[in-house]
Amino acid sequence: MLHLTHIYKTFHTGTINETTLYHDFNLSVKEGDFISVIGSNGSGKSTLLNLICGTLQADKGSILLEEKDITNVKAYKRSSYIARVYQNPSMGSCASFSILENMAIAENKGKPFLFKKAVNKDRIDFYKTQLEKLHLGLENRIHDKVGNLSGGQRQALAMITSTLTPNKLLILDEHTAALDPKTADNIMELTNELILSKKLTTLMVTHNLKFALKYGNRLIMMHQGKAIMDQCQTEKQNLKLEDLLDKFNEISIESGN
Amino acid sequence: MELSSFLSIIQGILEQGFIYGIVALGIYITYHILDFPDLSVDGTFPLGSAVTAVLLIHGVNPWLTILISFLAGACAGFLTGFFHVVLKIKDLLAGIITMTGLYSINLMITGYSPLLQIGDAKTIFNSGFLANLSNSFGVWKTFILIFLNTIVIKLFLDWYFKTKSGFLLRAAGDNENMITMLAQDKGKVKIIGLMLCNGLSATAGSVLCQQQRYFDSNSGTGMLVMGLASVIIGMTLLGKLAKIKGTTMVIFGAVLYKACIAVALNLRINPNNLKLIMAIIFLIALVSKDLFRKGGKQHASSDSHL
Repeated sequence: MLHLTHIYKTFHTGTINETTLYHDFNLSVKEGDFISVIGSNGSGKSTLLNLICGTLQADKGSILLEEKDITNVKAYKRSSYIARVYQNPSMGSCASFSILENMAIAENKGKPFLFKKAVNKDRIDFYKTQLEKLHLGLENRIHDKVGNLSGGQRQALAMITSTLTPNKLLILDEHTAALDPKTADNIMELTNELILSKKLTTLMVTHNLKFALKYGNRLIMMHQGKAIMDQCQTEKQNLKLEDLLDKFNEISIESGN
Repeated sequence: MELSSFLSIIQGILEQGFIYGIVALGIYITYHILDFPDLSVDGTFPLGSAVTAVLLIHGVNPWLTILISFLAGACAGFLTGFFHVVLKIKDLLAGIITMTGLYSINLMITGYSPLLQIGDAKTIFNSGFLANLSNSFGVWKTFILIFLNTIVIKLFLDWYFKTKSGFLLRAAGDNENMITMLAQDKGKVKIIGLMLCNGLSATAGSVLCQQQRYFDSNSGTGMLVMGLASVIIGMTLLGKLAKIKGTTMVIFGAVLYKACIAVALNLRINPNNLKLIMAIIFLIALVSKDLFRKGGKQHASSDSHL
């Protein structure tokens, strides 16, 4: 359903820092895939997400989402069918808004923001049932300002708000990296439940190799703009942490780290 | 000091405070919500006066001239937004361009007279149902009308901030990234904020022109500084009271600011030094804002007076 074909991307073109990241990069994602993307810094993981979301433009190549060419569609327009959760928990919600207000605007995503009242009180029960899934007790705090929540709580809320409306694609940009190990485990478990129950096609960039192995049906390792490992289903299930670490060491020596 | 002269000073402060309170409401939107120091208000305030003076002389309904002034100001605000969002000019510079250009445009509107008297033209203060109604308040009549006008605008903004469009504006100031995530164009949201702010600034210029019965091409000088000072004074002094709305605070700030100026003038300070006093008040407001914040609530919770 998502096809990146013949993607070229060079940064700092024309300067001494010129670096070609993607040289004829291709990726195909099937409907319902949950892909973990791993790789060292500068391997092109984040650029991949930015290209899909439209925050960066490829120099050459095309991006197709459900047969539709989105290569030149603006980032904010893509947001109406692509949900994204960021590494920084404060990126996904408004600190000065209450939980209720954040959910109300999230539910209006992609629709016009006109002069109707923003918060519809009839929806409170629905919001509460969504929040109950988090098991954090947030359903009893819907009038609290989001700025008063912890990073983990905010990230959990971002998971709920970003998937409140139907999406074609969910992008997780190291969304557990800023959290403590216990909270990261909880958020990851919650993420998995949400993805499975809503059958979301997902691309998850992570530095946590355990998460990459445990969750999803496909694993991609990026290195210097190429997918040097791409394993699906049973191949992925047979993959062990040691295999990944070996591969990581291999590429580190190669690039002289 | 005699009681009557004291009362007339109070009356002057309130009248001025509530007129400039409208500008403060506009600057509350651009500066406090969108974090955009918009200098175009220095041009849109006299723009409102110029449009009003000419229209009143031609016998247009004074309430309608306020509306037309608002629209004229909103157009100017749109230009600032266009310069910033589409042509990628920095916020302060975009405002300076509009402000500078408007100075000539304002003179063009009034036929190149920097001071235009409106003669015996009808204004909101001497015609219509509301003016007759407020006649019974004697010397306070002018203030009552100004007060009602400002309060209606304030209530309109309070309502607007609760709508989806208003929420988007507030979200833009809180977390710009949210606008993109909600599949909306953040440039468009900024432009709407600038249009509102400058529309309000021109509205204030219109009311002042009707009260003073003349247009002054220099009346906009220092408007942003005055508005910012009002916003900061109001939010700093009343910010701790969670139940008060931001719109109320900034109007209070504008009244207090005008009170400070009145006190300075009554201490027989040379009026030529007024701008220096304005600068000092602004400086004190900026410094005390941080003093008040220290040990107080954090940004997130103190920012939510809508």
